[in-house]
Amino acid sequence: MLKLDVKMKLIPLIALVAWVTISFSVSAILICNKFAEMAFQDQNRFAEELVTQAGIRYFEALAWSENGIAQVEIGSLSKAAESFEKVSDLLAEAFDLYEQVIAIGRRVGIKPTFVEAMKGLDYDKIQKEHGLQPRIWSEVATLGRKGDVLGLFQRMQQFIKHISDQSEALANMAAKGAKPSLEQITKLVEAWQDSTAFGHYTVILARAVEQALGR
Amino acid sequence: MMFNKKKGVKAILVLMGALVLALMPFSTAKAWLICNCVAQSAFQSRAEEAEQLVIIAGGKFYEARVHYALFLAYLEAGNSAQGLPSLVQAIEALGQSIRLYRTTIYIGEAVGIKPEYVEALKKIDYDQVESELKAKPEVWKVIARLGQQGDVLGLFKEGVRRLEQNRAVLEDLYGLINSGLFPSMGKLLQVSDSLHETTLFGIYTSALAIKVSPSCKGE
Repeated sequence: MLKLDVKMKLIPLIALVAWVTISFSVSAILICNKFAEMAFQDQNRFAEELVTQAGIRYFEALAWSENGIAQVEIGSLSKAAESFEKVSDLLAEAFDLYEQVIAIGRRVGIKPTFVEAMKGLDYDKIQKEHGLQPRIWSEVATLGRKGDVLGLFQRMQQFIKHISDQSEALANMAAKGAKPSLEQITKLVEAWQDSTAFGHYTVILARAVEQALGR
Repeated sequence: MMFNKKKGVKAILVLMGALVLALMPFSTAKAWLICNCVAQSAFQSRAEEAEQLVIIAGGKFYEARVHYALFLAYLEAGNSAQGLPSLVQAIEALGQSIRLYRTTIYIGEAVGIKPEYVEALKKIDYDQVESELKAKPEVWKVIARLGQQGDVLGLFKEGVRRLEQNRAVLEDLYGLINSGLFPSMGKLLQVSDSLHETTLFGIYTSALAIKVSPSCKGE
């Protein structure tokens, strides 16, 4: 039988240190990847590198967000506030990186062959093949059918801004010692899930275009 | 404006994410994010002790999510091998969470559940709560079925089942990467969905428990 001293202050310390080194030679595949590399007329490798960096910032922010929720769960609101602040900072960096990617795309232009291949895909078939959530996939498909490559990055920015705003609100609340509501946490968790699914789905789309182009 | 920082971008970027979790159980239950308030209100005795286990278990679950998110950061950077320790830590944290919930179940079985709590649980209007929460139907229907049966420990058992499922998909992922294979997007979506549904299950269960015992909210 477990004996637990309820007065005991248990402090398991989890220090996670992520040293993430980006290499030019590796192709990242998790979130909005491959579009810049395949679709941009020029500077495509550099733009893809920025997308990868944005993705890393995004997942690092997700880790801090989970940490913030864990702190809320255990009642440590000051630590929760710090974590949610960190989320906002990292997402701001991701947002800016996507902004740079969009600026490059506007400047160098998008390959017409890529746009045509993107427009010509059977989006319903892809959705069924991969069992994708219709609600999120329909957003990707709407942009894809229009051949709007940069629109995918802009939509990702909107997701990021939305999560960042929520995180800032939670950080402010927690800093004042106010516990976020269950509804707020649920919304945050769902926003991350939708955003990550959107990012993953864009990669599925990129692969479909790649296949259509016979690469 | 927060989104206009200029960032120098170089070929090699080194990120350091240091996340420190200090998990301190409280003698009064304040947590309510994942499967909370049930043991505290429903168990015949040792309720506070059981609730603390649930709080630590919830913290461990989110800790697993922290490690998994870091693993994704490594994967995005193309360093899947370097991300393996994070994946292992996520699996271990889930294992700890499972053990804590199981201990809670043992305590509940040993001390018994308050009959008045069971009755109150049965009387909840589950459709109304589902609507209020805008709950995901496939997750809520499991909670509603157990609640309508007054099966308090069934809620924890369902939580354990989901955590075991989470751990299994992470172990699959570990096996793939350890073999030098890159996970498919389908596999990553499976993990993400699996963890998300467990999160929602925990949140909805806490919301239900607050409906049964509003004073448990800890405000």
